[in-house]
Amino acid sequence: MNVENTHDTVNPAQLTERVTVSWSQPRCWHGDDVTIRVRTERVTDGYMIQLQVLAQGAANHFHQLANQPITGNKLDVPYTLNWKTLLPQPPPYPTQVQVRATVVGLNNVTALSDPMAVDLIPPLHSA
Amino acid sequence: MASFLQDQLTKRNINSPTVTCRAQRGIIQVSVQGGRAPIPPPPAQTRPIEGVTATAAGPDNPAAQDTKNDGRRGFGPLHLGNYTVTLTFPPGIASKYDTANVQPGISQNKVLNAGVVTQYDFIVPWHWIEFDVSDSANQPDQNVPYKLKYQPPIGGAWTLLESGYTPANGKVEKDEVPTGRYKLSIPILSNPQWSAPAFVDIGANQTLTVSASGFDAGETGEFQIIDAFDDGKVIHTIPATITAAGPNFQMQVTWMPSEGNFSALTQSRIRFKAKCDRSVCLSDIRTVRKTQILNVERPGSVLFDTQITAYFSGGGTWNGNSPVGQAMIPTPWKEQIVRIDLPAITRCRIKMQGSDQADSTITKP
Repeated sequence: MNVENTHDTVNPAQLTERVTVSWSQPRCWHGDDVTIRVRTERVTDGYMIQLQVLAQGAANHFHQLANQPITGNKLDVPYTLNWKTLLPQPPPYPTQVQVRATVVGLNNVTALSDPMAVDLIPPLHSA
Repeated sequence: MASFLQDQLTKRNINSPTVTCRAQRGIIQVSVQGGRAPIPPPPAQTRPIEGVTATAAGPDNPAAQDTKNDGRRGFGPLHLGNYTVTLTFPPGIASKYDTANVQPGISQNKVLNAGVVTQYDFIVPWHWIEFDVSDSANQPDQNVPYKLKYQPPIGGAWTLLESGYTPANGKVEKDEVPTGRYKLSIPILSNPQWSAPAFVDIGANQTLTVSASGFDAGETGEFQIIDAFDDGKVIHTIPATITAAGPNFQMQVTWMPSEGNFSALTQSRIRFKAKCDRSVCLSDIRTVRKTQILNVERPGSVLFDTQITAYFSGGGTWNGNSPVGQAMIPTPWKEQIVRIDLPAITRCRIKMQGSDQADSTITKP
């Protein structure tokens, strides 16, 4: 960014931050250990990251992880997609899940991952 | 200083042997301090200014002298009377100071009294610039790389004054700077764009673009093609250069993906990571596809057009046709066609050819 002005002035230069989040794999089995990968741009170390897991297309999350601090614009969080512990209701369970990452305290710095397919049974079109 | 001046007043002046009454002389002490324009700050916030030329005019006219690093300069012992001390700013430093607003004035007239030091104090507003770098929560942003550039009032090229990283308070500030324009450049890559909306097809040109703000044309960076699920896994690297794009700058490359680029990719999803200086920008995810050919022929090797749905091992599908008996099926990288539907055909035999899977013949009874 460029901020330009004449001498004898105080000039605010406010940066905008960005966050991206993804699963560590495109598909997993129910019960698998996966990793949530959070990457940020221009976020100072120590800001807390809020992670919420939700079914694709759902308005509300079904699981919120404990906030964790970002360091070096990077945060990897191990996660187990176990419906028995995550969801109280009986099947059917979501087959596509997303994770939303939000930098707590910054102005609307949030992102939603691409969906990850979660299989309870061998997938219909598995290789 | 006081003892030095006292010495001057009491010593015999060997250069003026006719002067015998030392008490009939006085000393002029000039002090030049500065602070931020336009309003002179409290004395505690001033600093001495070196190199300002002070001229004392009165009954004696000693040679003009520049202030020292403590902002002071003394004249005398001088004969008593009215003395006007005037400041002049050498061309090399004049533009750094607001000479029209020196307080109490660029010249001061006082009566030089006998046996004492007469003080001529000047407060000079100097020019300054300050940039306050903060995050979107208005907190100071530390360790942000920046370049500070200057353009004279008459315009022209920008000159790099300094580069570095913001301190803990996020402030990039300089005092005693020449008048003109100042620009703080913080290198930021943003707005990553693929030319293709959803897919990266092997053999088809792709244009990768990021907006580059705070950079100079000619700076070099790179685009890394990375595994969408592991940003530490670099699949392919393409060097790039910052160029002008209208009034702004960008970094852009055209890339022809080849199978060889993806030898380390074990699934079909990729991103690109644009990097220049310390700035990094991640793109959205795209699916790499490789075309597989499906030949559709009637008994007797007569090729024909029909509707086709292909199912891939990753869960995706493709719908299309086989014009002139051949369907070009864009298959996600490292995935296989696991099922084919031919809704308009009741009986057929299909031969599949593809480097990612064995040739096969499928018969639909």
